[in-house]
Amino acid sequence: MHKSNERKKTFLEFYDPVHEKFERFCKARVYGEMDYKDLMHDTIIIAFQKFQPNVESKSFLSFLFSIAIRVLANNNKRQKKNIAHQNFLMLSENNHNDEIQKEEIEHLYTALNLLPDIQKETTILFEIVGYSLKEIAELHCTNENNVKQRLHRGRIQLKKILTKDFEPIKIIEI
Amino acid sequence: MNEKRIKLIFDVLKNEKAIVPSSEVSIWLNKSLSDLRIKNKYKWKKRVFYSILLVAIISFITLLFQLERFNDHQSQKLNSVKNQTETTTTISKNQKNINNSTTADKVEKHSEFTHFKSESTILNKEELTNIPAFTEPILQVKSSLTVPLYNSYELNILPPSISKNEERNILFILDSLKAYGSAARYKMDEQDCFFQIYKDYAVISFISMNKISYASGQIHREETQVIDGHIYKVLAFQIDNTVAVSGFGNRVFFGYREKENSSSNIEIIIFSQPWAPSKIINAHKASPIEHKNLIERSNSQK
Repeated sequence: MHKSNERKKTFLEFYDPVHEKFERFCKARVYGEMDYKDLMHDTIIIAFQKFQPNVESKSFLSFLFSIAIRVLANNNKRQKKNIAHQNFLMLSENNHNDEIQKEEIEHLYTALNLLPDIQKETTILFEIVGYSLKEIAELHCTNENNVKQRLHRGRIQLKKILTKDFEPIKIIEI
Repeated sequence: MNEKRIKLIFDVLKNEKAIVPSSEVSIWLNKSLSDLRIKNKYKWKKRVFYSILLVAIISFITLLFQLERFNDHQSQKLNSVKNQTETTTTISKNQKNINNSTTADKVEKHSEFTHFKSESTILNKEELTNIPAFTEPILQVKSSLTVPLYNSYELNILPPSISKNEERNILFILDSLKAYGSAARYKMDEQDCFFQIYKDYAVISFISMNKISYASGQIHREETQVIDGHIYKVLAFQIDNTVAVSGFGNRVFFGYREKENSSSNIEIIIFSQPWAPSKIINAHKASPIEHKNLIERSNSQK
């Protein structure tokens, strides 16, 4: 009992500093696929079971991301249900800058969702989570040039999607 | 939406505050911990259950193997006994050929005791001195057998209560048979029907209900009984498989007496159980010609 609590305490010590980044990643990455809270929950539970206290705090976030990506992939295999509406509702809870409309954020997420998975992840990690090119390269087990290329392609794609007369994607309930 | 705007939105998102409070994560972990404890608890129970199941399966398989081995052992034992018996029979036949002391009248017939192929043995009167060499070794080998050929039980040859030294040497040809208490009498074929005793070994072969009954064995009991005012010398033996396996282990009770008018004629009484008479057989002492015919017939069938 005591040992378990100790473990939990250590885990939270690792987790608390990366909480916001992790949530941002989940929110952006999971858009249109599942509830980001579910993804966070599932990821944290698995991470806690696999957690080794001697892990470096620097790599803890990458550890969470790798689990989240796998969880999401497994979830996509099980169900293809689109739950973008829930995400939208969650987005509306946040008080954004007045200059940014909620619809614009939603459009951005939708546009991100249209990118290939690897480009999407790279863009999210760089632009939203704030990961460096090196960190992304380590997470994706590749080199920085590849990451740069993916980012570049992702930006072009996003620009293409968002600069033309954007029509929100119709969500079809299955 | 231009590039600048996109950049601005990304910046806003990068600085966005978390919606899910950290305390919620702590609650998730607590729940996970309790789930983990329950899971571990069941895991142990599962482990114990599977261990017991495994032990039970292993025990069952071991038991099956043991049973299989036991059966193999038993069948090997049976085979060895069978081979031993066959060897014994071969030896006895060889001895018979070498010594020319005995002849075997091989007749395929249905015994009253069983319906297997059987053989009858007629001891040669002229070579009586060689007979102990024929009978005794066989009986000794047989008494050491532990498992019979076709029977599931062991033949315990009873210790003879009669003297082996006593001179018993008779050969009678059976003439007719009737059921005890009945008047109807049936004639018998003298070629196949005979009764012989040598020392403590008896052979009887007769026809009843169109079936040839054959029995032979070591006499273990001998006494005198008075039946219907007549004094009979009654004997008991247990059928062995010296010559035929039929009726193995069955007890045969019979008696005989010399008829008043002639010492060469005897009356044989066969009991269904001691001492309940079931058949009466009339017989006469085998003449030298009849004896010779029996031997010739036996030799011709070899």
